Amino acid sequence: MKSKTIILSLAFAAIVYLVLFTYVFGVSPYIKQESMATWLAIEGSKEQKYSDTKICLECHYDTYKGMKNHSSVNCEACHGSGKEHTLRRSEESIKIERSRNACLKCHLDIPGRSVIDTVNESHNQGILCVVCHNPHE
Amino acid sequence: MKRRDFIKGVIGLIFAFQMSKAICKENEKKSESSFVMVIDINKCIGCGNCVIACKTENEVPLDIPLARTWIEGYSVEERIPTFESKVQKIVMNTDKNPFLDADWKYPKTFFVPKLCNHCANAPCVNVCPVYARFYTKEGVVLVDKETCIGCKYCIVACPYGATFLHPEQKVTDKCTFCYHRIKDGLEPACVLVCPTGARVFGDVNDEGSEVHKLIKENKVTVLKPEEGTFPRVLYIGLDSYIVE
Repeated sequence: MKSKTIILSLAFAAIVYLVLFTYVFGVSPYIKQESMATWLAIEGSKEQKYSDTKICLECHYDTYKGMKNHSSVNCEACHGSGKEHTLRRSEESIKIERSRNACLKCHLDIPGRSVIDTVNESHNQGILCVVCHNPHE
Repeated sequence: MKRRDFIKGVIGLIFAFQMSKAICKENEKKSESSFVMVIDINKCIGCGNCVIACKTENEVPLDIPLARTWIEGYSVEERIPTFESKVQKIVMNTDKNPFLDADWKYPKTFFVPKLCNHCANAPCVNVCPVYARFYTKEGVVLVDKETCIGCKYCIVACPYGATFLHPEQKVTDKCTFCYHRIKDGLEPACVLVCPTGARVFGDVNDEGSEVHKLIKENKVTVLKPEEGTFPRVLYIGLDSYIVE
């Protein structure tokens, strides 16, 4: 009875050591890092939906040249994802938003907005902002 | 061989060895890049552009309250900070901006953009049972979605709540610093669309980069330093007694 217990415990220990041995000497996926390399390739090849302001300037340099107020804001902050527009180059492929809400998203007077100029909701109610203010000026 | 030639040869060899060593070291220094994001709380206006851009870029549904990056708006009673000081907190994690029509109770209001902190000692990497999470050589923490089994250990382990189960892919998802963009030298989508420049991204080891300058000139802090995670997202002007 006693010898049987010893043999069982030894067998168990042997299994545990074997598992540890295989993990330590290169069978572990973390040490081999094979799946990580494949995933890095997949992650790197994902589609970019946002472009870059440098690419916008290739065609729209004139719009950008005299800009003062929004000169540090990237084009896609207001116009949305521009990858499709860089390929199709048509007016429908980019978002041109003229509503009040598009401006008030940033310029509405709520607490905590001290770094930019803000206006109240009652400022010339019912008139589009772009009637008086040119965002590309 | 004469003794003189032998000595000459030995000296030459030692010199060449030292030179090669120095060149190797220089190359190592050049290849070593370490990405960080610096967020200036004073500049954030809570417009929510980053949340929408991140969701569009990384195929996370716009209408669900799960996001790779989100904004927390805080309104605080202006008194000395105590355990009883009153704090109102509103979170934006969908394409609807709740800050615009919220009634803020207290005049001191600020916005804190949050995202995965890409910890140097990441709890999510440590707990993953299938080794699906790993560090890249630039320090970005990534999820291998082919290996991930969706057991959600990482969601429990993350002290920042930055990881979530993607409802369509059925595996865990989190910020990758837009790895598919930064490898081409572009900025992450949230940094690109930030109108005030509150978010700045770059290589901290590159001495000409903007993040290097910002960290040098400002006092920066991280979220939950007591967790020992060593985050790569650094904050300027954070009221750390309020923000958790």
